[in-house]
Amino acid sequence: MAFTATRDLMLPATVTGSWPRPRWYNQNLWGRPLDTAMMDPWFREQFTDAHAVVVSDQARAGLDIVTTGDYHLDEDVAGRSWHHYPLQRWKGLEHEELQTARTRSPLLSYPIGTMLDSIYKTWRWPRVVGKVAHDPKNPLEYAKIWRITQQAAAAAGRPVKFGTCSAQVLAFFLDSHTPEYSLDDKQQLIWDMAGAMNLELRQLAASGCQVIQVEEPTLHFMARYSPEKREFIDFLVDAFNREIEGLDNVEVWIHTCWGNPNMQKVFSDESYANSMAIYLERLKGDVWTIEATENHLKELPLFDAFKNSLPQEDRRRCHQPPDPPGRFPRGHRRTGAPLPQAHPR
Amino acid sequence: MRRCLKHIPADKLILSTDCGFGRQGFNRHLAFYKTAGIAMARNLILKELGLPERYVPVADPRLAWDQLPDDEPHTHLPPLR
Repeated sequence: MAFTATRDLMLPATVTGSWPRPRWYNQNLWGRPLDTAMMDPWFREQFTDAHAVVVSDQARAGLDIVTTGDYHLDEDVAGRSWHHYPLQRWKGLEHEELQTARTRSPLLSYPIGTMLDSIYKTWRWPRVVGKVAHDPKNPLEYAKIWRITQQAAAAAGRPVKFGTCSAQVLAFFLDSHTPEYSLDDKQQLIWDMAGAMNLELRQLAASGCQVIQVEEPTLHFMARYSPEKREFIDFLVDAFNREIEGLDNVEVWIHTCWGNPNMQKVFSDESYANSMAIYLERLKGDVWTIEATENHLKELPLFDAFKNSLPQEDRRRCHQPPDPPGRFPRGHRRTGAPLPQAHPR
Repeated sequence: MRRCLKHIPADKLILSTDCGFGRQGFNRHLAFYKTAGIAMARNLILKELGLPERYVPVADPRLAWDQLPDDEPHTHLPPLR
């Protein structure tokens, strides 16, 4: 971990990642390898042009760090592709299907007639049928997508932040149909997914990406709603650190929120109180972003207790007077999010 | 942003959105101007802190194009007033 993109910037401005598509961008991958789709001139032209557009939009808006807009993800119901993109490409998963009444996932038990019931059931989930692993025949291609976007951003002189869902958020939705994994204990599944994701992130870092954002590790959810599961929370810390292992010269961001700001809320009594120390002191990474405006900034005082624990090193690296950005290894910056969102991911 | 700075030092603060804008239902026009609002608010705070502001192209009056250009008399009708 290292501060690269934001080292000399006071109050860097960016967005989380996904960005509404131009109206003409109507192509999708639907599980195909990127290289396959890029042989189609209609897809190729839309895909590269769309990435140039999102970079242009964000640069014109004055952002310091731009994103890919998550334009490699399909335009499907309620942002499904955010988590299905890796699931459609890793080994050990097959046959997306509607959930049965016997599913073990509590997230799939919202009352019929609610939007969340509609979303979670429409999404469908694959069966786990074997050991989950990276598939070299259909890689996630994060490095290639980043290069396409950074090529467009080069003239604007902006670094492109690449974001991906955390591997550990995926397992909670899946039911195992193989003796490879226990039906209820998700630890081995999470561990294997973290390893599969790590390969892709290492490739992304090797390609030159300076800012990698891993989105929605489940620690704030677990610490808030199941704080008694200490051993499992400890395991999730290890799993997350495994996911980003080896990203030594990359600025690693950890994005967290509580689901659907401005849409039908998933939680009503969310709080980071139990996970402050986890995110600030136990996870590797450089930047931690939080959901702030959706709850009217009420959790900001939680940071007061951690002010003095931040390393107070080298605050004079930047040329900008009078108080340039300091950096702290394994410390975390935090996001004061000035705007609420209208759509998840 | 000012409320954030009461609890988080300016050199430890990054400005972003609560979550992504999504793909299915959100308006690109809205996303653009919400985002420009972040950058312009950043500049307000930088100014308050005595630091250099950073360029926001969409907020550059010289580049504004969706108005009657009173200062382009060669190609437009003269202003009414």
